[in-house]
Amino acid sequence: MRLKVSEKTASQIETCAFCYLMCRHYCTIASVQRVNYSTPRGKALILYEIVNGRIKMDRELARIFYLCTNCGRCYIACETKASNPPEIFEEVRSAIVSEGLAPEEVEQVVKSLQKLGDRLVDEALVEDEFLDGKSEYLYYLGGEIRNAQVEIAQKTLALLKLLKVDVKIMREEPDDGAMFYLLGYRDLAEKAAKNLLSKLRKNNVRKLIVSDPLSYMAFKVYYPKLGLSLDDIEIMHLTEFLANKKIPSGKLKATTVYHDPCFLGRRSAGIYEEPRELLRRIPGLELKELTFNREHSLCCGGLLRPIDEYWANKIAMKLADELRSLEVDFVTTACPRCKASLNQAGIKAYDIAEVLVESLSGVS
Amino acid sequence: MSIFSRGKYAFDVDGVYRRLSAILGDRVKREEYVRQSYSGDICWLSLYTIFKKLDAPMPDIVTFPKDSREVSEILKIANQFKVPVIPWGGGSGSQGGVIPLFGGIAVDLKLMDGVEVNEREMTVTAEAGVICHELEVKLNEKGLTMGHYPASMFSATVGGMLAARSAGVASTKYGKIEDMVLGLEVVLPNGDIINTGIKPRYTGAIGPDLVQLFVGSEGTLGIITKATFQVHPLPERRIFSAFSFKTLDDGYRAVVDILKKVTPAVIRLYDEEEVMKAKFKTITPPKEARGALLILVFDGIKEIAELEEKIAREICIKHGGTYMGSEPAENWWKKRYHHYFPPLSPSSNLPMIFGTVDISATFDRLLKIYRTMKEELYRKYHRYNIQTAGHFSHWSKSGGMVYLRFYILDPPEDPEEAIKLHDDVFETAIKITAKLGGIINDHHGIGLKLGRFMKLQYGEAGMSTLRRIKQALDPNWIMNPGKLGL
Repeated sequence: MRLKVSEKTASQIETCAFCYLMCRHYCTIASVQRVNYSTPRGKALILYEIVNGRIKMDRELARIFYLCTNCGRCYIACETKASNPPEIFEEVRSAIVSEGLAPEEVEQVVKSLQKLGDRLVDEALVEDEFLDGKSEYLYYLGGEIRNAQVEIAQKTLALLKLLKVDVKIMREEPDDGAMFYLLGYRDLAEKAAKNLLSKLRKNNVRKLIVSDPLSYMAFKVYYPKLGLSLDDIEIMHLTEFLANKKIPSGKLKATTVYHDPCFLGRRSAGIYEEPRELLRRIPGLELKELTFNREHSLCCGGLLRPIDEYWANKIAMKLADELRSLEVDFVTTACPRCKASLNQAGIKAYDIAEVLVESLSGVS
Repeated sequence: MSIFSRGKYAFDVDGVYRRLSAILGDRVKREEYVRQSYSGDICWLSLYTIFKKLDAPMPDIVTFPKDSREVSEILKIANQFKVPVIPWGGGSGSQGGVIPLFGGIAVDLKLMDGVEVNEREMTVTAEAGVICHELEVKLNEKGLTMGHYPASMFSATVGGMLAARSAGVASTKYGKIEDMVLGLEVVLPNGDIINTGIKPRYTGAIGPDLVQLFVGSEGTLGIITKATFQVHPLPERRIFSAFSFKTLDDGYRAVVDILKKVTPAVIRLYDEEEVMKAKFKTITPPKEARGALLILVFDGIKEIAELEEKIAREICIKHGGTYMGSEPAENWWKKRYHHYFPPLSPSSNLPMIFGTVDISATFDRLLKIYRTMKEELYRKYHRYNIQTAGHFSHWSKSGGMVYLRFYILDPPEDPEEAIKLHDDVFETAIKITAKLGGIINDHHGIGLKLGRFMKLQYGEAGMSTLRRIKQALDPNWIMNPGKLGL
């Protein structure tokens, strides 16, 4: 089966296929799989042959194009920015889905996401916070926090309350569709996005705060790609929002390192300094840095976890090894997936909202 | 269309696959896309083959061993069934060293990625599959460096660099990979494992050097699985300077005199053509540069580096050089990998024919070889619109290397003719090198590309000696057949 991709993507595939392997050292999956066909160049070479009809795409081969965390480190390594591999693979996945060749594990993930639908947010968490009328801000939890890590939402809302922010959440929060987009199911992504946007508009939401970088990526990058405008809604990551707020001076005697989530940094808006600034403002907290930080940061593999837990764990372990060598008390991040991946790899990691709340305990 | 003919070595692929699977489990693959990923390196021929949709040879089976014991088991099976073995590292070679001419088993060593830094000994021991950049980062974190910065830094592996005698841009001071290595672990074709011990440089009187027998053997004698290297403290300071010279000769004489007194980390002397005209520049020269351009980098302790720079500057000025400041050299250092990225790299311009003739010679011969090669290439191939660009680097105290790049902008349409022309350019250049007493390759290796010229280098008696060594270690000739002229 030949694969239909846009002219731009075909040209980018060719660019990578004839490159001198200049991003292997930065590729997250290649750094653990360590085989030729896992690098962006290796994958591009296979795609080049598929596009030219010399190798047939099938469900088995399709699997390797899902074995990419979409972290975008390769694009950082590419000095000339001649090609953007995560964007290539996002489109290739879409073409794979169109041909009905998505691997079984991907179909399973999509089915379970579809089943979830608009999820009721845990009432115990938010009793008086539901959006039922006017409020200045909406806090959007996103799938991962909503379904698996409500404690991040709890702490975030506690923090915002402490700062006297007029914020509410939705009782039934529609999915943002980002996972669908990422896995190549653009129709489903568009449907989800439209559903969410119509609810936001129905409730006159003008300002939206998110914790999950994947949701942030959806609003900032994927929606415009799907032709959906968000000009009427201001989207802010929690750390962006807090960076401009006066936060009472708390206290936390500890050492930490900030782990940059891929989708908050290099893949979307390059938010690197705001979270660091927030941590620096906490008296007593010492902030360390990894060798690879900011746009060079290592990926946690979290987005791969639903598709391939084995390789996701390998990636997380690699990051965990680097973090261990810093000998900090805990790791701070701003992504529920990074937090979960690191916890699973035996690293004490917290969302920045949790760290800030902890530093303010005792402050009313 | 296939441009390669598959000769002997017919074997029971299914049977060998089963035997390998019994040892390696799912780390044995034979899917088409996997085999295709192991069909070539980044030499022009491999890339052109893909570009022109020609059939390239593929390995029949690809294996991913995790340690030297598994490598040993693979080689025992290959030896028993007389199956060709192609050791694989980063695949960043430019000489076709990994093209599996006769099929067989590709042995990808990248899963062997252990690194042990020994700060007290000032050594690092790394398994064959460690990528050069990974190794350097691990060292940098401890304030150390290999001093090895090849263009293939981001993908080349320890094993591949040793097998092909890699050089980095600072080799004038830190040496090539063979000067850095202190000991090896090697698996022989019969499965035996040699461990040479760790011999500090300039020490030891233990007969012929087994380490250097395998360094540069390009996978034809066995598989290097682990190596120990000397390391250095990260330099306190780097000092950059650049000079322009009216003629290449002036610059060349200055370099020879510099090397009599000091040892810069980097000396790169660019021919005027590369500075001013080349379509594929590897340096962006300052606007006011005329003639040849010299880039110097000194590193180490600040005061010593400053003194070395001062001495070199006086020599350059004595030879008529104009000091261009530090910026051209600093810019080169910062952007030294830039020209290898698409679309700037020649590989983004296929079906153009391109190649690098990297040869070395003593001071008295090098410049003459370069000039003769260049003249002859323009004379013979001007009708194909040939362009060249050259620079001299990787110096020693008695000679250096010239890097003559050629680009054929109007190549023949027919692949057979194009490949013939590519090979012919190398033949012309290498024959001149050999005739004028040069060394036919400096640091890219021989591989498939230059194998047929090995006799010009070593003569019949020399090649016969190499063949007898090969026969003794690899009686079934399974190790990377068709490379190194063996």
